[in-house]
Amino acid sequence: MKKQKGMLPFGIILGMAAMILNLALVLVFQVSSGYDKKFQELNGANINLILPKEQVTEKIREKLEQHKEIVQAEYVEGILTQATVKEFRGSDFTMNTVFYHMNETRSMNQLEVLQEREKAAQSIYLPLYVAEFGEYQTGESITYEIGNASYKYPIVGVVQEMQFGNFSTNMMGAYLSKEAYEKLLEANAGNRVYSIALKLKENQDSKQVQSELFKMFREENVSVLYGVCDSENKQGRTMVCNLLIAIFMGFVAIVVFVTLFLAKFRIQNCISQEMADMGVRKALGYTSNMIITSIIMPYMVVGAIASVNGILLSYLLLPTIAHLLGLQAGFFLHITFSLSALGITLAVLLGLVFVFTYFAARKIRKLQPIYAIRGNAECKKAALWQNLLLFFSLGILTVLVSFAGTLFYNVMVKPDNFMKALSDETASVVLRVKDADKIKEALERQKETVKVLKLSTEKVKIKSEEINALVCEDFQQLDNDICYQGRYPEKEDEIALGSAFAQEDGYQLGDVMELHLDGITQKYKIVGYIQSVNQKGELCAVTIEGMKRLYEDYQAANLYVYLQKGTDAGRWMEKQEKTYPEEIFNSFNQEELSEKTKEMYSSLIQEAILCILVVTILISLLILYVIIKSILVSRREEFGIYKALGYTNGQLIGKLAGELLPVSVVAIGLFSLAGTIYMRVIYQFIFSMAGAMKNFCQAPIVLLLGSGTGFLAVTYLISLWLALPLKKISAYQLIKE
Amino acid sequence: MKQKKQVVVAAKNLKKSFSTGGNEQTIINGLDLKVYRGDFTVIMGSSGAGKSTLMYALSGMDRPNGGQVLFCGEDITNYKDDKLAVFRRKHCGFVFQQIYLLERMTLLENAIAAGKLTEHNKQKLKEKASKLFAKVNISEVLQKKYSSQISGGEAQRAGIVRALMNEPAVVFADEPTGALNSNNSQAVLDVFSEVNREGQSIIMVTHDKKTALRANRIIYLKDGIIFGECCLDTYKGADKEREHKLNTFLEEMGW
Ligand SMILES: Nc1ncnc2c1ncn2[C@@H]1O[C@H](COP(=O)(O)OP(=O)(O)OP(=O)(O)O)[C@@H](O)[C@H]1O
Ligand SMILES: [Mg+2]
Repeated sequence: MKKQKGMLPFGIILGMAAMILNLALVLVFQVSSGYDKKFQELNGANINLILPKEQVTEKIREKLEQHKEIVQAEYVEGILTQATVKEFRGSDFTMNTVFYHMNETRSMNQLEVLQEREKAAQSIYLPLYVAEFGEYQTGESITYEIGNASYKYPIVGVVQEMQFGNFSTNMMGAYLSKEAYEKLLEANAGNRVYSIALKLKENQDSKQVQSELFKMFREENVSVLYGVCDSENKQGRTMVCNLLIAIFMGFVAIVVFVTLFLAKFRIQNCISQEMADMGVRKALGYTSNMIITSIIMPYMVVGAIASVNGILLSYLLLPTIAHLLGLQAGFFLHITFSLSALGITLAVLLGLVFVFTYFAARKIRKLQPIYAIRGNAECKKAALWQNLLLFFSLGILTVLVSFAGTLFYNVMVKPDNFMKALSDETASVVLRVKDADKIKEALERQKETVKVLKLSTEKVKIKSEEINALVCEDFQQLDNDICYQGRYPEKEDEIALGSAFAQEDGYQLGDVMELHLDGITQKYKIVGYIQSVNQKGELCAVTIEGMKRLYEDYQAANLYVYLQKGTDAGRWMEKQEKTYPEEIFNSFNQEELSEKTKEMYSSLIQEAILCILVVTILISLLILYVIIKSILVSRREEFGIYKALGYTNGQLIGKLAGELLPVSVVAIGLFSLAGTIYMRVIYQFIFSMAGAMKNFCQAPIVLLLGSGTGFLAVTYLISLWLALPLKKISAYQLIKE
Repeated sequence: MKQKKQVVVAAKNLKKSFSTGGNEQTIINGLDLKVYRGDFTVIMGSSGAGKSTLMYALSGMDRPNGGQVLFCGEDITNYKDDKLAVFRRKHCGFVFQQIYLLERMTLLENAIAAGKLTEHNKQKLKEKASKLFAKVNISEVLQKKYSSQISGGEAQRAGIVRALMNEPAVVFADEPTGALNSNNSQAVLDVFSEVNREGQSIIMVTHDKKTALRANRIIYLKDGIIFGECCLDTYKGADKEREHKLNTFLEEMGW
């Protein structure tokens, strides 16, 4: 049999859909479980605490060991510092770092050594995340500034660990050789800590246990320097991964939709062209079932081959993508072949191909052979059909292009839009102070400061669940508006709840609910909902007066300081520390962190966008090519006759373009305009899957119209050009074939 | 002698009409016809008289609006779709006026596409096809060409081969010599005569008197019915007397 015409584009498009669908499915199946697997492998602790070493008394140990949910507790000594890393991705970067002794035996939170060189006396093992994002290689050295001293360590290895992970944990580990550890300890004896790893009984709610422990520590006057449970940690570490997967899924949904639309069209088109042959067969005595089978088979075979190839191709890309995603979450994600992803991809695509072919071919049953041969009356509606087809395919392509365009705009052009959705309030500098009122005014008077806000996070309880409460003097002044419905609390008996509660009964706008803190219970009226990706929406917001109802002596602990653009936040911070050594306990350069985080997110997301842009371009080209080609093919005879009458090729192309133009303009215009609404909805949905309820993504009409028109015009021209070997064909051939 | 002949296809009060754009146009209007086994029957009539339409109805290619078609005494008008398909493959060969070869196949494949429905032995199929192709002067090189690569006459001959592949009881041929020059035309008609001698019945539409002379019975279609008919002796080559008889008949019919 002569090779089936038009099967190649059909195969390519289907293969591409299979590739991207399989890719997304594998990520959905394996990122989260890959994390869990690594967690198991390294025997991660359910709760990790860091306490000052001297405060971990026998009594505390006993309490932990006797806790009914705790199976195992392990104590590892470390030095907690605020270390400034030199030349971290090109600039200095301060982060909370716990230095451990590398050879300390650990049964929980084990370390997996990835690269290792010969050991040196004074040396360090870096966690994967620091090594990868700080761009440090083994064999190089890393310099930390701790206190006023500087420490330079040769890097002898990189380790994978499941205790801290990435910046969302706000704490990093570093693992020193014996000599280096001892030397660092000499200078920082006061910062000795115990890193306590707790293993719970199976299926225990680690968050619940953690909050019980925090309470116990408060009662015992033990200060918890750091505490995180496994579920929080996982959420924080995989947040960007999840968002990316959500974006991918959104993209996949559009691509699969586009593909199926096209496949349906192609199949229908081919089959109506094949009607004549089907009629001839029927005349020869083939039964309808024989004919339908012979029509469906090639599509199924090509579909199967293309899908399998697409799926295989996705495994070429997956390691790279998985690697990036894993690094973002601070571990190596190993992708394995997923039979279920393969099964679902094949079932979805082939199932739909089967349905389309079957329904298109089914017509032959009702048709007498001679009418099938002659072609049916549908031909007369060709012009309408052609216009409808063009309208919808350009429409869907506009959606696709808008999707990619919007993403590009909000990540590359206006990255703040994207960051706002993911991050909490970011000032320039955050100060932990003794008496907020006293120092606030002094700070405000400085010329560099724009504003100073009292904003702290406190623990409160809703029912028995401990959550963070944002306590602020004036929420209106926040830079990052996280209220997505209703408003912020203004009076002392008002509260705004996190998105996690929005669906629950008794937590609707206007309802009155209770907050508890150490035996005190107060009622608050719900006036709004707020979001926080980092806390999965499990938080609330109250005013300072509101907090005082729960805790009479409550004092704002943190000041968020917003500096003028161009001010060196680090230097300003140092200056304040010197000026108010008594008032400022602790200061934190948030600007630096957010810059770094932004960089890290975008390095990952940029790759994803690139990927999405490439696929968008390929798909648009292919689809326009197929459609224009099929329009040409279906009107071959007509064009042949025009040629016979003496039309030039230029005239023909002009005629065709002129015919297609009005529909194209209307389609792109309408779908772009509608895009200002639906793009927001789509992105809203995607962000909400990652926990961000408030949509910061903008989809300005100019962007949509511009990207739609510009992009499609170019692809349009290219595909028109590609589809026109018509030029070389004589009138006779056109009519005859 | 005629009384002894078996009826192979019969039409009783056959009706066929088309409605186009709200207009009802009756093409076949209560037609009665008996076609006998072993006959070479020719149907004539002016263009648009409904010859092709009648052929399609008789061969089960299309369903009439009324009346019956009896094939070997069996009413095929109410056959289910699949039964009709099996009926066609076993009993009818059809040479279309517009030929309609399968586009994506070579001529040989076209012939085999028909033949393989009743004969599953590939070797035998090929032999059968080569024999028939040889009879219509289609070389092996030609057999490997696609329908878009051949001339109209070649296509027509290939169409004939395809119709004969299943050795059907009745061969329907709608102007099978329309595109052929007289040499090829004679060769093709010889094939029809030969299969006819071997016992297959032929029903052929033609506009050509010379072609019509091959028949032993000529039916004239007009106003949707059989307007008249004329019987001749079996064709045995050029024969002035037969020619004369046909001419008189056609004159009577107003041809
Ligand atoms: N599918 C159809 N729909 C509407 N009208 C039809 C259809 N098929 C045939 N006709 C009409 O029926 C009439 C008879 O057509 P038919 O093809 O049977 O003529 P014919 O006798 O074979 O003519 P010719 O000798 O030119 O082949 C014509 O007027 C034609 O227009
Ligand atoms: Mg005809």
